[in-house]
Amino acid sequence: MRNPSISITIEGAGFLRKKIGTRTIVMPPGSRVSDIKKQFPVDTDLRVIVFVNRKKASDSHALHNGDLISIVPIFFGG
Amino acid sequence: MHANTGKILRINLDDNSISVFSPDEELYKKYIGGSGLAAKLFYDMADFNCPALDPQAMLIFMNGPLAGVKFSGTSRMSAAGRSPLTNIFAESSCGGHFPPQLRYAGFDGIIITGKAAKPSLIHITRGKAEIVDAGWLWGTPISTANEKIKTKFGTQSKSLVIGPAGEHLVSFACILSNAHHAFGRCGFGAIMGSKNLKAIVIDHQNFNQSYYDSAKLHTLTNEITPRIKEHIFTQVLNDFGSAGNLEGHMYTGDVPIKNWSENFNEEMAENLTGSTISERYLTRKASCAHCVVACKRIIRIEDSPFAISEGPGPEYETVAALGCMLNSSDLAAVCKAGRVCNDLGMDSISAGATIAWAMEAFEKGHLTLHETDGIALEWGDLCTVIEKVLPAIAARKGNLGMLLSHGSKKAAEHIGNNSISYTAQSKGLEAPMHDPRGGGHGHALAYAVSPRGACHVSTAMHFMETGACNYPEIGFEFDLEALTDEKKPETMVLAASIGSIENSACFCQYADRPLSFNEMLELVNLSSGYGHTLDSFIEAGLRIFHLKRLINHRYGTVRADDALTERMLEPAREGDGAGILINFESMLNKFYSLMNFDDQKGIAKEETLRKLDLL
Repeated sequence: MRNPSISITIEGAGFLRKKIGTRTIVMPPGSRVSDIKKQFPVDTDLRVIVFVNRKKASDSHALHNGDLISIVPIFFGG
Repeated sequence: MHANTGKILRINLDDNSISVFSPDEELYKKYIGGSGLAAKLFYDMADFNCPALDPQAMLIFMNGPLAGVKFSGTSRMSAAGRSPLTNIFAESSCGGHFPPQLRYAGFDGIIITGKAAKPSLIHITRGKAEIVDAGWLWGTPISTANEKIKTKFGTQSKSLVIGPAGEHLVSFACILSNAHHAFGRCGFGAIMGSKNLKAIVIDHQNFNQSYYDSAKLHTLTNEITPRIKEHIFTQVLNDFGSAGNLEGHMYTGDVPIKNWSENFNEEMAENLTGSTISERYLTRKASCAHCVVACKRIIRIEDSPFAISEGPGPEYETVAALGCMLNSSDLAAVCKAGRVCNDLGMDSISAGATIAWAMEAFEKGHLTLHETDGIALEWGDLCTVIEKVLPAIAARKGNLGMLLSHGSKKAAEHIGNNSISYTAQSKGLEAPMHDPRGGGHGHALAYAVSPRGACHVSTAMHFMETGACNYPEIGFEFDLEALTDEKKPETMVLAASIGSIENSACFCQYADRPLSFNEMLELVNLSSGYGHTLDSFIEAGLRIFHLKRLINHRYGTVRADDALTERMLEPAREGDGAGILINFESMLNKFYSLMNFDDQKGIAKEETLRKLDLL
């Protein structure tokens, strides 16, 4: 039996909120955080951290149906 | 001499004497200017037995070599003295438009001692200065004083002004330049107030500066400026101000909430972040002189209990200190609290952090209604903060105003109950709004060893740890993992030097982020002719850092003062850093070893001091 695709919600946080917004996308089964980063490239001078369901996740973290993915820019403060 | 004028105004307010002093030219190169040169002059000339607010206390304002250069991020200057808040060396940096005007008027800096017999101001015009009566300004809030000054001295005049808090000697009173740019930290407003000095005003000056190699400097600045303008950091700062990523910081646990007891609040993150400020209240953007970043906010709030007229909007630190720290998500209230704090002339970081501590003390019963003059200090109640608490502090009125006017450390020592354990400060300076438990463990080390107390800008650790810069020329070409101590002491050595260079050359730490280290060096050399090499530049930065530690040691600080409070080191309760202990002592030990510090005294050992020409 073929694995069903997974549906995940992506949101940009901080100043990426406007650029990325909030959207639900369908990904192939077995997708990982690194696949999300490829879909939403950001400025090369910018570091981002990906949170899955509000917890920091590494590039190899496997995604599951219904996950909330937050792309958080790392930026210096005031 | 190039870029610098070689002339420093010396003003004694006791007898109204004004003279011009020219430091040895070699000092400019060795201490770069700004914070470094001010520290050196303070070390050589100040009376270390003199209390912070004594009439004879020395107050120094100093430009760096780049002030006046028509290039982004160069319109900053430093102040130095002894802090009434911490009782050790005080320094602060301020942007705006005053620094190039002082340079074009013919001066690198101003050294002030003495106390005027009556409220006074210093009026500077090309090549000269005078002391004039300021009775007509005394008692006015900063915005009013600024308007009156413009009426009297012209709309293009530039000023440094204190508010009622400075006049009343509040330990964390600040100085505002043109009612918008602050010498925020360490209580410089109180030092001016103790001298009966309400303002320093400079008439508009036309460009007047010569450089070591104008043509090459012009070529370099033209080459770099488009890069700064297009850089992602500039775009964010320009669009959303310094609070542009408050929401992102909150995800990582970098933003202290409710007096460092929480780290994440989704509603607060969305409401207080810079994009929300821009969407709701921004009317226009503003900048320091010659800067393309334009990170300053001009805002107006209508149809709100917290309505404010068009004027300066809050920086990130103000939003976090008067919003997140007090557990408020009400953006209009936070903006109004920031405006009130500015107008009264108080550092919003120390004010917010001290009130947050007081709210927790009230919750715990360590502060009672008797000590608060019947004012209930409830989390999130910014109405009370705006209408009662901030004015009481600025006037040092009543039990509460008097208690909090000394800052959180002294207030906690006064009420006891181990309430010092939940202050967030080092050496008496309230920590800025970056929580090392989430933002990065290197911040903890930086807060502890920074000469003026808990500070994220006197060294470059904050920027290095967040990946905002990379300097392969000097060996910093690796990413740092925020929530470990790995490579942090080694990075801190470089950070100490880079931060000292930035604050002495008076580079803005926002605008200079897209620059390579070589470009920073070239900008300084082409303007001033110092002829620094990479090695001598880094050494100058270290010399300045060590010198400030020497000054503090003269005031009695030792290794035990390189400490953080229990609250700052207890594991975060939520977010990415939850449950993780900062390996603080280990980082500190390693840093001490790398800097060749004496384990007890907290200053460099003799051989290092000799090598840096500090003995």
